[in-house]
Amino acid sequence: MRIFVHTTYNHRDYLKRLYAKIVDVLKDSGVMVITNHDHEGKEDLTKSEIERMSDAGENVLDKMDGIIIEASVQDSEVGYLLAYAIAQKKPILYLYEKHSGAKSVMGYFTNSKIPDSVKIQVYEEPDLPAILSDFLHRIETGESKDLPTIKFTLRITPQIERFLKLKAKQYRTTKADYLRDKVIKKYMEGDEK
Amino acid sequence: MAKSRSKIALLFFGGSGIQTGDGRIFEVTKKEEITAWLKELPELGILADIEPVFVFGGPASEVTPALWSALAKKIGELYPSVDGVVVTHGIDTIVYTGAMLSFMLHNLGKPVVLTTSPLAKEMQSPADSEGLVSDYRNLGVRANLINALQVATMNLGEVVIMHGNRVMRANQTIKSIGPGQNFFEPIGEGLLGKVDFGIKLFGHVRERGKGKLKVDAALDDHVCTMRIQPASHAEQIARMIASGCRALMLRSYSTLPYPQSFIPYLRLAQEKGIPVVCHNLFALKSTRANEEYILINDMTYEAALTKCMWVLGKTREREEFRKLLYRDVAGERIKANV
Repeated sequence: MRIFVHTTYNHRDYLKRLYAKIVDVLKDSGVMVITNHDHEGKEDLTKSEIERMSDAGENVLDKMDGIIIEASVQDSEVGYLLAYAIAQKKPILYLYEKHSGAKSVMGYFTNSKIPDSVKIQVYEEPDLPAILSDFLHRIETGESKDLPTIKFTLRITPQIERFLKLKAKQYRTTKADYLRDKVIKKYMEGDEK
Repeated sequence: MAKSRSKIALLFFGGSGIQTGDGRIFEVTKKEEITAWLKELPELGILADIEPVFVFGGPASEVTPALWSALAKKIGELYPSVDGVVVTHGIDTIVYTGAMLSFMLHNLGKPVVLTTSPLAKEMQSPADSEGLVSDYRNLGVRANLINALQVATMNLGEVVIMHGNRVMRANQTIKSIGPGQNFFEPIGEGLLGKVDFGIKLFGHVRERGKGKLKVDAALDDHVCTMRIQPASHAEQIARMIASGCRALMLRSYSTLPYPQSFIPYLRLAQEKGIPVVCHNLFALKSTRANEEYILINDMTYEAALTKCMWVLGKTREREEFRKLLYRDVAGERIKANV
């Protein structure tokens, strides 16, 4: 699992400590953590992988399973990441420390119903492990809508496997997504008619 | 946000197709559809205060030079009261519009960001949208809009195209012919920024400025074009001259620009005061250039054609036309070839 963590540059030592704790807790949970600070985490994504995605016009953020925004100090990227993640239906954990004085930017969201993929959380330091663990659990179990949650085992022949591999490459997707989106859903739509 | 919220004008000029929650394709083709369209994208309000404005709702194939002038004038009206401008535009002619805007908007000190969607209202059957809508999740149509709005709040003072993971100088961009989600390619210094874990602009962008915008929207679209290829007939030049052509633009070969049979007709054009422009990015300057034709080998074709129209709106005198065409107006000239 890949999680992108955005924190804002600032001079408050206690916030820097909290940022480090967020990263440590996530790493201890076994996830790959990438942050917006160049010297941390990006070595887990190979340079050639990033270049391949870039050349294909893909956004590296789309490859993340979830996004955590620590917004105790807000910068111009906070709103952008939140809006982007909502548009792409990416699970987001939006955090701000209780005594930081920050407020959520979700007040500018022009729909009264906040998407299920967004979790807004005011926190204090002792709460962090539980909050982060809960977020990871939500991603794994697909509690956000639109995520497939039921595991289904299907035995296939080598010929079918080769076909699926070819199609996945053609449509730049996974074999499972190809089956779900291109084959099964289409069949269901046709059947409804 | 750390700074006060930006106010961004969102101009609808086609190319606004999005997929709704119930699978429809929805694009703004008239002013009355804007409110419903914005309701489909509540996340846009997180980025900035948006002022939506309808300019044109047809397909990219219906974009005309008159519409370019109207768009430039509308941007000029809104400019003093906004921090940036986003323009939605159909794919097929977005590069032309972007290049023309770069010539029409002088002393530009705020971002004008064009973006696009390949989803069109006509694609309502699964067969029409196969391979496009079914790849919607990876196509990033909504992502383009989010990225364009974000770029419109950044420290940038030029006309750009935002698509896929690239921010590109509009007059140094061409349509891509390769596979992948990058529908456009920058050339020269045209790559101004990239999207990875955020949007990063490179050091050579033109930054915001405080000066007053001057809109120079006059143009003359009596430019006849012809692609030189083995099946080309030189007599076509005569027909173009007879039709009222005021400038001639040839997509020429790179070594010798055209066959010998063309020379008498091009001399006829010159005698009638019609400037002849030869465009080829790989052509080398020669002594024949300046005598027989004006060679453009340091701009994209789209930038060269729109600049021809823009310059023709100022002068028809050949030498003055040549000087204005060669003068760098908005970073359109590719330095390596200059």
